[in-house]
Amino acid sequence: MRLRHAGQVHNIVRKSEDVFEVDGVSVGASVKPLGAARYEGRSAAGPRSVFVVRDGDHVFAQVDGREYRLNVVSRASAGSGEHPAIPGELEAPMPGRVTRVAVAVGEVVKRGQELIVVEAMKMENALVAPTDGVVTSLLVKVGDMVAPGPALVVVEAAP
Amino acid sequence: MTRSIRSVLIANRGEIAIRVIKTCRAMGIETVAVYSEADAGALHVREADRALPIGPAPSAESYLRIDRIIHAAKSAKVDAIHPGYGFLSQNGDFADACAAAGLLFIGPPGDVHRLMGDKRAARQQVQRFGVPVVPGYDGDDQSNERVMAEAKRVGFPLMIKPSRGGGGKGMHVTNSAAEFEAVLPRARRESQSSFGSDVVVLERFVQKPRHVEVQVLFDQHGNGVHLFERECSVQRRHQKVFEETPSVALDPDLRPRLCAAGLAAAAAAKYVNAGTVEFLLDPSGEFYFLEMNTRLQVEHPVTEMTLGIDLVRLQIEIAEGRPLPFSQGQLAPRGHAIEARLNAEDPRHGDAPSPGRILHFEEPRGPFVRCDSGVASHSVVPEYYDPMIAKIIASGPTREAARATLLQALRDLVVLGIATNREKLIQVLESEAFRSGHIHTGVLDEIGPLPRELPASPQDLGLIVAALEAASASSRGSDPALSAPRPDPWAATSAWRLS
Repeated sequence: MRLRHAGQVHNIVRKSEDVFEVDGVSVGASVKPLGAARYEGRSAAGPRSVFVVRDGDHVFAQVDGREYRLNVVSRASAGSGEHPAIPGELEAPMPGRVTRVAVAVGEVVKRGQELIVVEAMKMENALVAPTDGVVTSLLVKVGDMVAPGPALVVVEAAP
Repeated sequence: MTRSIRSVLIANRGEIAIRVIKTCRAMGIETVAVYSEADAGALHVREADRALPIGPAPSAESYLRIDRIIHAAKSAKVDAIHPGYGFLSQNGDFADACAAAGLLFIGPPGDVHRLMGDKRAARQQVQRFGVPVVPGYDGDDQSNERVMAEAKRVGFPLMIKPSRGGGGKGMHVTNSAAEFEAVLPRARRESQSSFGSDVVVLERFVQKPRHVEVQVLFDQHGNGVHLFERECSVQRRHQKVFEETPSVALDPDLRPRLCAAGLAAAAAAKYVNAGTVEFLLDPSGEFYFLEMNTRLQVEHPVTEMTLGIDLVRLQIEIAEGRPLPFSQGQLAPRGHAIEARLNAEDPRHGDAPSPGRILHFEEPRGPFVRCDSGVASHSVVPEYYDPMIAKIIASGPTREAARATLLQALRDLVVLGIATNREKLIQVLESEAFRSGHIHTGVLDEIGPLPRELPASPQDLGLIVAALEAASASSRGSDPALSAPRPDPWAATSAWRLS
């Protein structure tokens, strides 16, 4: 099984009842299910309290107080890695509603200038221009519901 | 004259609704919850004896609708309404509407809310009773020109606060006249949209202040006591993160003076029921009245833990017209208590709110640990409301004992499926600044962001995959209790899309 954590893909293969090979290194690990996401874990370092839930390709875990958010990497996409964020493409910092659009396409903006305001949980969050440049694309209007991921506005750096 | 309360409608949601329900249940009082469309499956709805819908998800159309809540209370034929904190808890019109409908409002009367809810009027009133206030401007002339001129007179750094605000929302610190001019329009907009008024007050921003507040309790017969202080200095953007009592900043000389000033400020407002007077304490030991919160506070449990009292029960008894059951001399706090606020937010992504479905939730347990939660496994945290989902409180004979107990409780706490500030809370509790008690309202900036995430431990990855395989083996087998939750329509949809 391949799991991505903090930008790194790890390869984990079961070798026996209680031994796994993790990125080529053998580690002792076994669990006893205790119900509802809880497991009693045993590792070479001793007993561990383990909580694991899978939701689609997302895996959420906590091992002895340490939290993990992982993604299951399928064979097909394993090599491609995560596509790098494109500079100048600004996405929503959180799910919310667009309450203000302060610029138009073609507008020249200064670094730090407020472009779009997203409101969620009673907090205003301003998306500001990362560089001096020109707004080349505006993909939302006031009232739109947005979430992290897609670009809301694109600023092309001034040459 | 007393009037017994046999049933209470709780005009709130989340952990505080459940907190109030628990005391009501212990007192044999029937409870009625209200809920928005986003909260139909919420824990507080399940915990109450009955529950009534009050409208769509946005709080302006549900939890802030006085008419709908009064209508629900009348149709449920309750004796009283508990407002919790936030929402309508400090709304004088709501308190008046309850009284007009023949319902007891568990809190102070409308005119007290209006007086203390107006920052300017409150400052002026407590000043008359000898309570010190921060230098600033709270005049009636709200023209931009006059406000600018006053800003320059008081000097920078300077705080802009909504006159009708509360809970730290809409406050801005400015360091120069140019920054002030740029921020003022946004401060006014936020004030207008959050509190329905663009009137602002200016206050000198005290450097490295501590935030220390005094809990007070007044019955309807003019008896008042203070329940000592709480220190809430660990804040992020004016939102409290940790609260504790006693404050390490108070000595036997300062404590009685501060608590007496808290009592005097409340008396100046002819206060009734439970309330809190907030002060800024500067490093030299000078203190200034900040505001009065005319409701139960989020952080009330630390006071309950050190005094061995139930503030919600006392609130209900006061609303019934009963006299305070103790005098000032009978109150002696014991030990130390610390509270941490667990928020649905991502400390690794600018503290962005993280609404969504909780796949697994496990409260910490153990001696001297209390957990007031508004969620459970499979709860959905809606995007519409405050991100706080639980409070973890620990007590002990000393501050260090309480700190160590709270630290272990936070390590035992499990929230899977959404991001929370759990690791941030652990980082702060482990910091030298917190451990030594050298805290102030800017201490989180000093402690800094969470360190970069360490690479996964190979052993942990082995355990995680062992657990994933065990779950999928058992879901193919016959025991559904041990299987991982299957993806269902709720889990597949982000909470924000549910509208």
